[in-house]
Amino acid sequence: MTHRPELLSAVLDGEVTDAETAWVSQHLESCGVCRAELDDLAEARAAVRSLPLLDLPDELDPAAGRVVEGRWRRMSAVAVAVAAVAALVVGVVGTATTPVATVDLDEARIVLAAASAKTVDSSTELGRILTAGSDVLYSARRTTMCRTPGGTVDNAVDVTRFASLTVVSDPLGQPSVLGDGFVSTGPRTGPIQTVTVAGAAPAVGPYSVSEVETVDHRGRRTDVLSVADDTRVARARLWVDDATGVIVTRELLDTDGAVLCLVDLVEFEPIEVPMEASIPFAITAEVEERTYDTLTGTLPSRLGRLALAGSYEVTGGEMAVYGDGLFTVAVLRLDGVAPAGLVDGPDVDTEVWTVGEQTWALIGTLPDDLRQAAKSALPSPNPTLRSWLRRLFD
Amino acid sequence: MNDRSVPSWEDVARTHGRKIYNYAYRLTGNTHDAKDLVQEVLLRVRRGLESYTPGSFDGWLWRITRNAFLDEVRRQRRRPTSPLPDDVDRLPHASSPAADDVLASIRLGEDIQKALLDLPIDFREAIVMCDVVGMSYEEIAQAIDIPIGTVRSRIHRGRKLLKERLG
Repeated sequence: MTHRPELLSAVLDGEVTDAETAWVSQHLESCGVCRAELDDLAEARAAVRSLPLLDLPDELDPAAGRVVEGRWRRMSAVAVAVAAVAALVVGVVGTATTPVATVDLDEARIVLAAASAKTVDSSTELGRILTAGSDVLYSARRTTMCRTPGGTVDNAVDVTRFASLTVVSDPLGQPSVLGDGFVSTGPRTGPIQTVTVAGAAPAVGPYSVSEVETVDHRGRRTDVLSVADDTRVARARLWVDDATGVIVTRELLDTDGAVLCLVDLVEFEPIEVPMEASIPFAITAEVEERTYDTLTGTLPSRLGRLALAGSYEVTGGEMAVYGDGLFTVAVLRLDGVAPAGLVDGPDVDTEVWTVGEQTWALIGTLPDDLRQAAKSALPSPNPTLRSWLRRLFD
Repeated sequence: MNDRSVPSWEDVARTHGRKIYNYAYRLTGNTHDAKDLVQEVLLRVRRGLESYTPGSFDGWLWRITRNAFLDEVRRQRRRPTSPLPDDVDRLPHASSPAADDVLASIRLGEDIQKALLDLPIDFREAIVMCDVVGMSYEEIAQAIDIPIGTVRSRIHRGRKLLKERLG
C-alpha cells in the first residue's frame, strides 16, 4: 500500500488539492497506521496553536515613542574617525557619504601574485560585519582565499602569500567586496599588504605589524597581530590560524580599543594532527546539536575537518567535508551502487566510484597531489575478473 | 498592506512588529533574544526603506527578518548565552484536586516551547511560521525561498518530532 504521510500534515492545514483530499479520505478508511499518525500530527499542531500570541513589548512599539537603539549609540559616537578608519585594512568600506563600491567577484583582481583561488563555502553567510561609518549592517557572504603555488623557500621556511576577499552584502543584498592580504613565513605571519580590488583601491596602506602574540583562540593556536597604518588612526587585530594561515577573525579598533568592525569566520575547525603522512581518525561532529554517524578513514594530515555535512537517511550513507583552509573536499559514502549522475558536484570536480556494494565519491577541486593523497586513503575498487577481462578485450 | 505604496517605518513596526516578535520568541525561546531580533529587523528595515522599490513587501520583510535571525543564531553558537527565564507560558497552579487533574493533562506552554526548541531550526521555523504566525504554505515558501513541497515536508517532519518530544 502506498502511504503519503506528508499529505496528512498538509490536510490539517487545508493546504491540499481536492484530489489530494479525496486520496487521503479513501486511504484513511483502510489504514490504521496513517490514522494514528494523523492523530499525532493533529496533536502537535494543536499544541503549538495553543501557545498565546504575545503583545509587542512597549519598548519596541513605536507608538509608545521609545524605540531603543542603544546598541548603536556607542558605534555612532566614534563616527568621527570613520572617514580615515573606513578605508583602513579592509579596503572597500562605505562611509555615510561614500557609496559602497560594487564589484563583481569575477572582475576582482589580486595584486599579490595569486594562483589557484578557492571559494570557501560560497553559499553560506560567513559572518557579520559592523561598520560604524555607514551605520549599515553587512553580512559576509563568501570568502575567497588565494595563495601562490608552492611559495618560495627561504632558509627552509615556507613563504606563502595569502590574500582574502570577502564578498559582503547589505540587508538588501547589494554586494561589495572587501579585501586584504598577508604573508605567512612558516608558522608565523608577517607584514600585511593591501590588495587592490578592481575599481576600488583602498586609500591607505600598506601598514605595519606590531605585537604578534600567539594565543589560544577557540581551542587552537592562532597568531594575533596588531596592525596599524602610519597615522595610527586605528588598529586592527587579526586572529590567524596557526596551521593553515587562514584569517579566522578580524577586528578593527579605534584608538580607545573599541571594536568598530568585526569579521568572523564560521565553521572552521581543523583537527590538530601530527605531521605524518597519514593518520587514522574518526570524525564525529555536531550539526545543530545532533550527532551524525562517524566516518572513519585515513586522510592526509594536511586536511583537517571543516564540517560534517551529515548522514543520508534515504539511501544510507555519510558525507564529511575536509579542507586545509583553502581547498575543500567532500568525501561521500553511499550504501548501494548509485546510478550514474546521482552524485554530482556543480562546478567542482567530482569523482565517483564503486567499491563492492558501496558508492564513494570525492567532490571538490584540489591540487593534484592532495587529490591523489586523498584518493589513496579511501577504499579503492577491487578489479573484478569481468572488468579485467573487459580491459583486455576492449 | 498595499504593495504599491512604500509603508512608513511606523506602519511596519506596528503591523509587523508583533508578528516578528512572536516568530522570534517562539524560535529562540526567550524574550531577550526576541526583542533584540525585532530591534535588529526594524533597524535594517528603516535603513532599507529609503531604497526599497515597491514589490513584494512581505517577502522583503521576511528576508530581512530571517537574515537577522540567522546572523544572531550563528553568533550565539560561538558565544552561547543561557536564555533568561521567562514566565510567559507558565500556567498558575490550582489547589483543588480536580483542577490538578485537568492541569496534568494540559501541556504547559513552557513544555511546548521546550519541545519546539529541540527541533532542528528548519523544522522549527516552518512550524512557527505556520502555527504561530499563521502564514500559508505559499507565504512560507516565499519567505524562506523554498519550494512548497519542502514546506510541506518540514512541517510534517517537525510535527512528528514534536509529538515524540511531547509524549
